[in-house]
Amino acid sequence: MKTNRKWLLGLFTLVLSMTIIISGCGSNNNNGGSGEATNGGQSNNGSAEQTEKPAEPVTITYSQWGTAEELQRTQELLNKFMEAYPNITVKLEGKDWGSYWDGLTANAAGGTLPDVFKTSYAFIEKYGELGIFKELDGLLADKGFELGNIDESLLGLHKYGGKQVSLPIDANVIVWYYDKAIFADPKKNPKGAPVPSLEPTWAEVLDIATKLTLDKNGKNPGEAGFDGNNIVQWGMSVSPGASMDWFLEPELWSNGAKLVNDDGSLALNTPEAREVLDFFIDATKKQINTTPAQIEGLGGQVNLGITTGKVAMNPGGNWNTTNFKEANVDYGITYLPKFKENKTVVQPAGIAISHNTKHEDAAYTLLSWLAGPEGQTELAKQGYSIPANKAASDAYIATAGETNKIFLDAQQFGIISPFTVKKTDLVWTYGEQSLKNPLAGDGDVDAAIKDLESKLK
Amino acid sequence: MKSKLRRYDTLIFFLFISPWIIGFSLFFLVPFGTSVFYAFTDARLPGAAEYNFVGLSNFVDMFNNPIFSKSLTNTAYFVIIGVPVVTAGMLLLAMLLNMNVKGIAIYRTFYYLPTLVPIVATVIIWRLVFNSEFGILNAGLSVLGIGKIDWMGSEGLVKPVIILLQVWISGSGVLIFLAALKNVPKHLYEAVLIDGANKVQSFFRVTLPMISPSILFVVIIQTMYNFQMFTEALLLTKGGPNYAAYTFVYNIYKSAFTDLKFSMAMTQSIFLFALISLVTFVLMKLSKRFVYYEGEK
Repeated sequence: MKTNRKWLLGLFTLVLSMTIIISGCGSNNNNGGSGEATNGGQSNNGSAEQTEKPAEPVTITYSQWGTAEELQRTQELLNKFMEAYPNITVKLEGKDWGSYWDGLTANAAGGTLPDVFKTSYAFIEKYGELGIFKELDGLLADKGFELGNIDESLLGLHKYGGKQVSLPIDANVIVWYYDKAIFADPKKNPKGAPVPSLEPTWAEVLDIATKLTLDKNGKNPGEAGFDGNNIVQWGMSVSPGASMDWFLEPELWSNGAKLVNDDGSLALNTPEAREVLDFFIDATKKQINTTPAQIEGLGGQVNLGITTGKVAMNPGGNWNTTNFKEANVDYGITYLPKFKENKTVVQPAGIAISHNTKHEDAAYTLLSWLAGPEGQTELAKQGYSIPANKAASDAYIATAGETNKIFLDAQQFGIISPFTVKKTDLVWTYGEQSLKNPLAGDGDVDAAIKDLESKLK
Repeated sequence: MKSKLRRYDTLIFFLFISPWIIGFSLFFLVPFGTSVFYAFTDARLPGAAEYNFVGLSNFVDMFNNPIFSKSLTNTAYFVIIGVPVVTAGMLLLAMLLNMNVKGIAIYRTFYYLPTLVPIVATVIIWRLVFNSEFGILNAGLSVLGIGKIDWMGSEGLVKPVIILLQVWISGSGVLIFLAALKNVPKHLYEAVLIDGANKVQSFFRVTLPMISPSILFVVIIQTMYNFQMFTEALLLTKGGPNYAAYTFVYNIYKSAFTDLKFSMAMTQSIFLFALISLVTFVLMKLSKRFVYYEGEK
């Protein structure tokens, strides 16, 4: 009896542990596979034939990241497409940014990639190495797609191994936002700090931010009696260690420095780079800028700081105007503050076709519509994304108005800094872990840089 | 006739057990075999058309990776420190809920409620509670004159916060202990009382031995859970700050889905499987000395 029980318990724990581990580790594959199986199934509906005739009804899947609002707008775009091509049904699969890439990996592992999917220039090389993209050069040439309307630099960011694997569809840009209501309210702006100029320097922004950072007694950092434990309003909110690609990198370039060298090694140990890092460390230590913990408490997204009513200025993308409008924030926009030169990041998202789609014609039709004049004009009419196709520029200006023209103008300051696998690892894997706290004045920045250097080797 | 009957019984046995055997083979043996296979390759994806056999180099690379070492150390912390703390917390709560006081059913319900809340929601609540700037905990501590503590931003504090979170959601373990406590015969307490034992002595001489099978069960389950901790680390701090909460399984996940190195993820999984099996084996062996099965005496 004793032996039996022991064996039973032993067997139970062994099986339990094995099952949990294997299913746990494999579940992402399996889930990904089974989760997408429906979609794969949809994709395969009636697809015993490898090349369906365009006139026959076909269902394809399109996957992208985004908030619920962004996905809703994409669905509206897809509805327009389906009106134009009634024989093609497009099923939208939406995920948030964080889980999108893991999901794409799981799909690739399970052989259930969506027919068409959104890409980011930051991940082209990484996923290009996995071979998930269909090469587009031949298709584009055969079908006569007009590439001349898309900037060569944007197209270049969507090439892998010299081949076009994705077509840029938007050219989002990073700018500097401020909450007009805070500047206009004497209680929140007792020193009467002016709104930042169109091309602000960091000295100017720091001065404004200092005046707008208030403790519960209305005192600013640096004033006698300032209570740093009871800050009720921050002048600015930036987190360079957690936004290396879209904030820290252009700021480094602005000061003549770089994030990574041409050989992929870390470039943060130059005097110019350290000047930038020290500036943000100093601003955070002086409590003019939010700490990571404060950002977490304010909702966790540094680019949405001004929606809380407790932050006067923060960096963000042109897409964040949606969030500001939803939060009823009366926002103003300037270029990113500069050290020496105006710099920003242009983030072109793109559209790709999976290498193993069974509906190449339909997938290409969707891709060419989304990246071509019709789809780009519809995108521009929504007024939230900056179309990459110049054929839609007028439509964007007509919809977004002169206020948002700055997004187009800011593109002239875009840095040319393609993503390599190493840079992607730095930004998305190692950088935040190592640098987030040290760049907020909490931790040894030298040790963090050394640690990062070794990891990038 | 007898032989026929035996064959019939055998057939029925296999008929009934066949769904389990099929399921076990399909969903365990095949994936396990596949994982072992890929652990010796450089495949970036399962089913990749191109891969090479690399022998043991994945295992060598794994041990040379500082992030792997850190994740192993963190996981060891959650097992060595976390499991005893969480188990003790469960037992303490179970004993409190085993007291004969008015409204005990309501208390039991309240203590079990956090277990019913999805872990994602619990972690979000936890983030709000432990936020250094706006969290209710620091607000409470400030009344006592204690300054702001960066619970989740500190490398030294983030792991204890996660262990505390585990105690918070430990309702299932509490239930197991509560059931075990209820099953301890009253006459044993009466006997030691007659022998002059006090409450502490009766706890160590009666309660603990009588519930030791339940303790073993909870310890093994909690050990396996902590070896595979993932959700808490991911949602609370994304394994940070500076990898302080980077757990073993989180590292496996990142290897597979962020670094796109499935073969390395498989290697780590197999290592973890071996580690859990070993620890469970040791626990089972040690349990002979500490676990008392009443029915076997």
